Amino acid sequence: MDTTVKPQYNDGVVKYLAVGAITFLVLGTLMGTFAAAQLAWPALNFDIAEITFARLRVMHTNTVIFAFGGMTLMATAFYTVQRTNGVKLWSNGMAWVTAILFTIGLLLVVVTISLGMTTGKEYHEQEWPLAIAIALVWTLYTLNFVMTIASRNKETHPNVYVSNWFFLGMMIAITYLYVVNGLAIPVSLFRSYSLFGGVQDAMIQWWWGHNAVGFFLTAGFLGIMYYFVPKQAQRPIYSYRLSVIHFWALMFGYVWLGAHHLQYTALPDWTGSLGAVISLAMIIPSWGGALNGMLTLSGAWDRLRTDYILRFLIISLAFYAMATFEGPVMAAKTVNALSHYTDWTVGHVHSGALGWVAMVSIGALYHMVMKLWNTEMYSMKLINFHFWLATIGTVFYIVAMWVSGIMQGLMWRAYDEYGTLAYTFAESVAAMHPYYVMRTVGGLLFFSGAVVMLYNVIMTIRTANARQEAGVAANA
Amino acid sequence: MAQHNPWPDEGNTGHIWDEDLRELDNPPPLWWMLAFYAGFVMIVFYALYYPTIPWTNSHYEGMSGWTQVEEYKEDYQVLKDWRDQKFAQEEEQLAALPLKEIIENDELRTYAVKTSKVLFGDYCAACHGAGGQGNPNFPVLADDDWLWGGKVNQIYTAIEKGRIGNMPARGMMGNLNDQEVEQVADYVIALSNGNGDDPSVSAGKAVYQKGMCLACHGPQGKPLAPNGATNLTDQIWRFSGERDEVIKTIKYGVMVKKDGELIENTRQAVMPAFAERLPDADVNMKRLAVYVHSLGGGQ
Repeated sequence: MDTTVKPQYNDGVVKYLAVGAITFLVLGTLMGTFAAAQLAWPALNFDIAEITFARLRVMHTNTVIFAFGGMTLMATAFYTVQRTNGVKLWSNGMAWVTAILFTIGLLLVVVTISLGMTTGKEYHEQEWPLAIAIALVWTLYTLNFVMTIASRNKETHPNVYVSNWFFLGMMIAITYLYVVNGLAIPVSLFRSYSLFGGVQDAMIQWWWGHNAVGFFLTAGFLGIMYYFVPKQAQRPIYSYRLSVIHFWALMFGYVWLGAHHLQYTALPDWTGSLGAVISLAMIIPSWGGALNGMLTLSGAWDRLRTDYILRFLIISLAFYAMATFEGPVMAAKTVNALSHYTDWTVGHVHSGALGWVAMVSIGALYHMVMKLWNTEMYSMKLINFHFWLATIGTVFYIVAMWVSGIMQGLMWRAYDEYGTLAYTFAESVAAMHPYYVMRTVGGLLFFSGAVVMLYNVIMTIRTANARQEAGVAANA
Repeated sequence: MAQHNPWPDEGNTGHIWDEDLRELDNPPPLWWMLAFYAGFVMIVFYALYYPTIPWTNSHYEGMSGWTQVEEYKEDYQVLKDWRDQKFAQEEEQLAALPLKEIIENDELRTYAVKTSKVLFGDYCAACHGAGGQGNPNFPVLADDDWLWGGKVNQIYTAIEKGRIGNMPARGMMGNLNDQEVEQVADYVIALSNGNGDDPSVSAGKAVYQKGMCLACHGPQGKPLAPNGATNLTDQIWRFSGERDEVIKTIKYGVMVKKDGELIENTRQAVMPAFAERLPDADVNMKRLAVYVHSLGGGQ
């Protein structure tokens, strides 16, 4: 095997997806920060239907999860599947079609939500024509990924690298979860009714809803972790066996969790208990991933002082470990009775979304930008600055929501000396104000970090191009 | 093909991807493996203790016999027992005695007021304000100006059955023209400032007669008995005392309908009936009536 010749990969589409992801990160966190401000200062709704909190919150979740998260997953999957299998994409053209249609689809999702079209299903708000289109695009993405792995040279690449397992598991699970939850009877172009009724509909919804987190935001991003952590640290993965065990545990376990979103509702008792216990049993498999990533650094911890990109990757694992402990605890009935419907849930989601998903993505995106444009970053100092903005912003956000969420839960159940409720609902809302302000500050810090990143990446690309042109000129 | 392994001594699996991507052959940490197995053990115990397993038409009920409905009922019972033990007498009296007697009994009235705070806050405050101080277009309850009467029984009726305000557009006969509407608006504004007899508003005073406003608002701008019409001689406005807003109220009336639908610009004045809305409505409606009566203006 001649290792001196670097294989050529289809990187154009990866470049497009990477820049797209960073752009959507800026837009999505802007929406989130503004929505947070609307909760603190309701006058910011301006009585404009298209940007009221009710719609903006949903536009925010779709932009960050599916536009930013989805484009990150596509960029990293297309990037890593080529490199870990030593081949070009099975179809570069199809990858471009996937990338462009996905962008247009997600823009339409955000616009239709702003116009008030929604199925009312969380993380599945887009109406049926868009849902079908997105499912088809997703299928193209999956097909291309599978066929790329299949087209590898099985002699030089007898084994499929672990990040590919996670990506593929995510793609398959998301396809069937998304499609089943989306089954609906259309009554017009932008109106449909779910095929399921009542509590079954709620169960199907959260079967999907939790796995938008469990597969889309966890399995997929573990795929990212398994490639970019060892690459950036230049260390081997700590344990092959650990990766096998926690992979299968997550794949089999995650689909059972959805019911923990419906504790103390009309859902049958056995379903809720089952959701709760499997949630608790998922702590250790989840920690398997965090552990494998962190132990990969053994012997290279000193790199954290100098390698700011590695900092993003490692702190993401710390947040991942924390969030995957917190979530199961919240799924347990006694804790859920207090935490459900409060801001604690929102805080938990964001410790996963900001601390884990966004941080690991940011680390991977910086790494890819340098490799794709074959250059150093425009400014390493700005990456460090981004790191602190993102970390402090995330901590602000989570702490604010812990305090306000637990306070909310306690206020709602507090009794006075007469045995009647101690607080009105409106009093609990008023008590949240300082924490909503604090959350807005946290969001603003995180958003500022995203802007710094976009600037740094744009400057990197511009200087890289200039350098290449200069190189061409010198050769001529 | 045996892969070339540049790192033969680090204990990797021998699989190498993308030049330097590789995995060590370490076992998972022992504590992790033990915790992983403990998870399975926990699932078994939990599944035996709680209802977890579905049969075709029922489900395994678990050794604990736990159900969420039972848990709720038990929690509720604890609270109820505690309340019964402490306040059984007050609650019985509240349910049995007529409202008039409740408000004359200092202890019982205080008890009703103290136990109404959250009830009022959750069911009434959205419109009437947290302290009954009102909101734009929603009446103040903490003053002595009453549309439907300030006696505790009248307040109770309002809570029980709700109230719907009503005022025809452009006078009783609907025959006031724009100029007359403006004149009568100027008159009622003058009335509220105590200048109803000022010669400058005499035209409006005549329109007040012509439009038969007196039928509800009374000959002197003050309803003869509570009927939902506002007292025009004070500075408290049901909607707004701004001249343009007063004109709007007279022009389009209150709750004026055409073909069963509210017309555009008409004022809305609906208080829903709470007999079906409140939990334990029998006693809670009484509690709230006493509370509202105590806010300052009860008669």
